[in-house]
Amino acid sequence: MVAVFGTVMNAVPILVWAERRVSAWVQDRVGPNRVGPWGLFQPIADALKLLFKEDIVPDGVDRVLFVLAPAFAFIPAALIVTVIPFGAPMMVQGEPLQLQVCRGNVGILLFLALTGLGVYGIAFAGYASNNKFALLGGLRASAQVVSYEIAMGLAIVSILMSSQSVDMNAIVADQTGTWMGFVPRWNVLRQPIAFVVFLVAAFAESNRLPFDLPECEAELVGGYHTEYSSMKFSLFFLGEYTAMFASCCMITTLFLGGWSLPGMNLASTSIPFSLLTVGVFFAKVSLLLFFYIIIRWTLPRFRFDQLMQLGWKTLIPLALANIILTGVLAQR
Amino acid sequence: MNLRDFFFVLFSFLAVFGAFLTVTRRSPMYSAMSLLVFFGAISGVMMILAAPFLALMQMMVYAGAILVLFLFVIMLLSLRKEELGGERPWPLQLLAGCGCAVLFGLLAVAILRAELPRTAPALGPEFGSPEAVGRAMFSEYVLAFEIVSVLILAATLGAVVLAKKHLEPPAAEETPAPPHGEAHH
Repeated sequence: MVAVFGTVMNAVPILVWAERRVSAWVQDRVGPNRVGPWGLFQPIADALKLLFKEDIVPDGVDRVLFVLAPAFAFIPAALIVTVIPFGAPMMVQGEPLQLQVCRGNVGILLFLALTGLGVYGIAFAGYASNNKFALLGGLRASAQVVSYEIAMGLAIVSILMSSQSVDMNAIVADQTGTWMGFVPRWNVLRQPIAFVVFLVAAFAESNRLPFDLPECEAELVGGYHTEYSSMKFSLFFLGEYTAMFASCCMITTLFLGGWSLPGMNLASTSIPFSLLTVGVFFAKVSLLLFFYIIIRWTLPRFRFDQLMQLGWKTLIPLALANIILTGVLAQR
Repeated sequence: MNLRDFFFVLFSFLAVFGAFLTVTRRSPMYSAMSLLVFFGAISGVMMILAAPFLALMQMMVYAGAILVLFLFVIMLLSLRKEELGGERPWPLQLLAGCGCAVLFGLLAVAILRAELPRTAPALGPEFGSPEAVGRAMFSEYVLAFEIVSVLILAATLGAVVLAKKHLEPPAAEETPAPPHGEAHH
């Protein structure tokens, strides 16, 4: 458990650094390169700066909610990673050790419950700030999350139908093996529609461009975190990147075969093999994160009514049709 | 008292506390937050009572969707203190108090007269799992399940009709109507 949270807390600064380097690369700039090799220590400097900034609670805010909101934004995102199986179980002193914090047969449901809770931080922040831009940001966030959560849940339903379990380990196990010896039986190939719907909904749920309407700097200054400073602001920041990391872990587990690669001997439970699978898992997650960042720096933002149209009139019918299709194909 | 009992008592107290705050807070935002505490605590109680599926559904549906819609409406209206209205007149308060007392009395009588088993029934490891709940829902209780779906459909239609009542027909309008995504609940 400690190891998992340690991983998350370390992944976020690296992610921020990667975001800035990749954005610089996309825009043909240099990016941060002064602190440490290739600017790798830049996030440490940033974090120190944020810690020593003055923590302002503006006049006229609702104090209790204003202070609670950053915690509400961060905690659910951090808890999501507990349901992810990071690697193959390893034998330690004769006992199998699952590389998953929260075991049990309800993993996916826990994921859905926690993503739904993530919006409270943003909504409370928007309300408590006593600022019209923040309020609009909070409003947009709650509408967006409720809409896209449905599409996400429906995409997951079709995955559950094809793997016939809600247990994360069973879903990974279902994706092992190959067709014709080299094509992996990953859900991204078996359920391409569900994959697209889930991917778009995951972008929207983590408030990333092209769906970052809640903070939309051109219209809303900073959106829900306009009034926040210092560590409270950085908790929002941390929450957003943690949610992004968690949703990449989730996509990897649900659609990209989790920690497995075709051709692996899955009966093995030795420690090196287990560590190798953890490496495979994080390689997949890193590729997805790279994709997230590239998307952010290449696409413009949606207008809010376009966002709602896409969610309700495109993604949800598409996901429903996919469920019916899966049901029909599974009958054969 | 073992750990399980401790958490049961803790979550039960939290649930009562949250429910109490929900009805006593003046600010609707704090009421909503107390309701969130209540949902979380109830979900915890369900988890302890070997119903993980139900517990997570509670979080997903009530805390994750319904309460977010409440928040949405609260923020959309963002009422100021004056608009919330002052104290209600005393006959209304008395009436509400009597109603609560009667309901509490009925529940208390029902609970006291019920035959409660002295020992917990033995449950298999499958009890309360998504598979078990699904199987029960689609075999034994399939009729009730389908009736509920008709009820929800009727409610959805009603909501759409209510939301669209004041709209002009689209042909008569200059600009397209804003999307009504929220009306589908």
